[in-house]
Formats: sequence, C-alpha cells, structure tokens
Amino acid sequence: MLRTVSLACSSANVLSKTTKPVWALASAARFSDKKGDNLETELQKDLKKLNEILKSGGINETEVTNKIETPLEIAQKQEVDKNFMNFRKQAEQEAFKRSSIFNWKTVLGTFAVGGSCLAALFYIKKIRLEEREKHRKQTAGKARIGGEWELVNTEGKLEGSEQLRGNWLLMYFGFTNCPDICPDEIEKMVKVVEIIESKKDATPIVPVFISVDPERDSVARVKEYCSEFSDKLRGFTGTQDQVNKVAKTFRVYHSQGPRTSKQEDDYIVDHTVIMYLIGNFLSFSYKNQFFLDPDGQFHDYYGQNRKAEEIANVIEMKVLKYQAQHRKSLLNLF
Amino acid sequence: MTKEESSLKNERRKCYEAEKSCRAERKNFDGNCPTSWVNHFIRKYQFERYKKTLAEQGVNIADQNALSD
Repeated sequence: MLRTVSLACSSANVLSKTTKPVWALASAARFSDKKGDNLETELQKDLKKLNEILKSGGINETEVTNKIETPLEIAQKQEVDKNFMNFRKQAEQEAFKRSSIFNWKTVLGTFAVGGSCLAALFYIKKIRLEEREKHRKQTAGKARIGGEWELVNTEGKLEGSEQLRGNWLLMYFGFTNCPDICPDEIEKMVKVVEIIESKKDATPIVPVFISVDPERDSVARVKEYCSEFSDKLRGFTGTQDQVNKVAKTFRVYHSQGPRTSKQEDDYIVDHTVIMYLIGNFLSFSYKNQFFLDPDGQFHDYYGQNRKAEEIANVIEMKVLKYQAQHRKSLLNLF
Repeated sequence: MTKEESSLKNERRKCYEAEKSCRAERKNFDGNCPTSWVNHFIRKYQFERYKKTLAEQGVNIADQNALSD
C-alpha cells in the first residue's frame, strides 16, 4: 500500500512538472499559427524539446521509481521483524539472548556443579562424623572392658558385682593349678589391698580371684586356695559358660593347654595375666559422697611388671581423681 | 702318672655321683610336681637361659621385664 501510494505521488509530480510547459507550448502554438514558418519551426523545436523532456522525464520517472523502490524493498524485508525500530525491546531481547542464565546448558552445568559441591559437602560431613565416632569410640574404649557379672562364690552361692557394690575391686583371673605366675600375682594383689587398707580413711577395696579353669576348680578347691592367701580374698568359680561369660566381659583370654599322658586332668591353662581395677558403684552413697557409676566399670589395669607399692599408689590416685570428678559432676547436677 | 690317673678316675667318680644325685633330685622333682608343671618349669628355665645367652651375645631384647627375675 505504502509503496503504490508513494509511487503514484511521485509520478503525479513528474507529470505536473512536465505537462505545464506542454500546455503553454500548445496554446502558444495555437496563437502563433498565423505568424508563419518561423513560428512553425519554433513550435517544432519546442515539440522536439517537449518530446525530449517527455522522454527524459520518462527516464527520470523510472529512475525515481527505482530509487524509491530500493529502500522500500529494504523496508519490506525488515518489516518481517515486528520489533523493527523498537530499540528498547530489541535491546532487551539482545540482553536476553546474551544472558546465559536461562540457557539449558547453563542450567545443566549449574546442576552438575551444585550437585558435585553438595556431594563433596556430604562426603566431608560423613568423614567428620566418622572421625568423631572413632574418637568417641576411642574414649569410650575404656568402658568396653568390664560390666556386671555373677559367679559362684566360695560358699557355693551366686554372687557378683551387685553384691559387691560399694567397693573398688581388684580382679585377677587364674586357676588353682597354676604353677608360678598366679600365686605370685595373687600375693601381690593381697599386698596391694593391705597397703591401701593400712591407711587412714581407707578406700573400700576387695581382692577378687576368678577361676578360668572351672573343670578342676571346684567351689571347695577355690575356697581352700583363696583362704591360704588371705581371708580377704574372694574366690569365684562356676560352670564353663558362666566363667566364659565373665572372661569375655573383662576381655580375658584363657586357653586350656595339652593334657599330659600320665594324668587326664593334668594341664596348664594359658591366660591373661592382668589385674583389673574395677569401680563397682551404682547410685551408692559412701561417707556422704554419691557415686553414679555402673557396676563393673573398668578403671585401670596392672601387669606382671608392676610392684605392689606402685599399684597401691596408682590406685589411691585413681580413687581420689574419681571422687573429685564425681563430686564435681554432682555439684553440677544440683 | 698314677696320681693323674687317680685324679681322672676321681673326676669320673664325682660325675657319676653328681649324676646319681641329679637323678634323685629329678625323681624328687617329678614326684612332687605334676607333669605339666615339670614341663612348664623346664621350658621356662630353657627359655630364660636362651634369652640370657642372646642378651650376652648383644641381641637387644626389648622387653626388660622378660630379663629381670
């Protein structure tokens, strides 16, 4: 539409420009008809000019139309874009195209990077948790030795941590047919208890012997064996299962050796040579002090290389430390 | 010569006597100890002697408790 209108306008202009002299010439020619050949020649000249002008005008006209058509064509081509000349919208669109935030590739990339970051975070957290757990286990490893136990005492009655509550226990696992180590260790244990008990405000401590050879160690035999060391020494035995259970609670290894050919019940039992210091308190009050410690709690151990005096000193230190800690924790409670 | 012979003879005699008393001691040992204990003590003695010879040869025995006694 625009094209045709403009084309019509331009052609009309050209025509009006060129036709004016044509009319003038024509009227002049009418008046100068009578004046002779001179006029005729002049008219012819004018006609020639007119023709020339017409011709040239025609050419001009086509040239003009051509000139007009070319930008129109360009306009027509650009007209397909609805946002032609709408620079604000165009700029926005350009910005939108340029901004890669909404690109699916970047979305995927973001997810990948974010995912891997999250995975790394979770991994680190997991490692930290594991470390913490490991550390907790290490510190709690102390508590994994010991616990409540029950065996048959020298009177043939069931007795254990519950009945001995309120005392510190020095526990030793052995067997009455033990050639050398057990008697030495039991003697040492009795000596330690005697040293501690000889002092003022003595800590209540009980030496305990537990047999790891229930096959040969009858109640009577254990009774006789213990009484020969000290009347303070409490001896325990039981069935194989009972003994195994207690040995497991205190992580004590024991293994029956080979029987000699001469006698069926002649053998040596290999076992852990360790003296345990066990706390045996459960909400127990002693000398206005309250202890909140489960029965059979492991506190310390003493090997064959430690001397009686040394062990006695260490135990006294341990007991003092324990009492101080529990007084503090009780103060925090109230 | 006769003196030497007699001294050699004397040495032999001494040894025989010692062997005899050793036998008696061993019999005493066996009679008073259970077989398992006898085996245990002999093994222990041998092990202690072995450790001692090793220590004398300059072998470093890390466990000092094992050497004491």
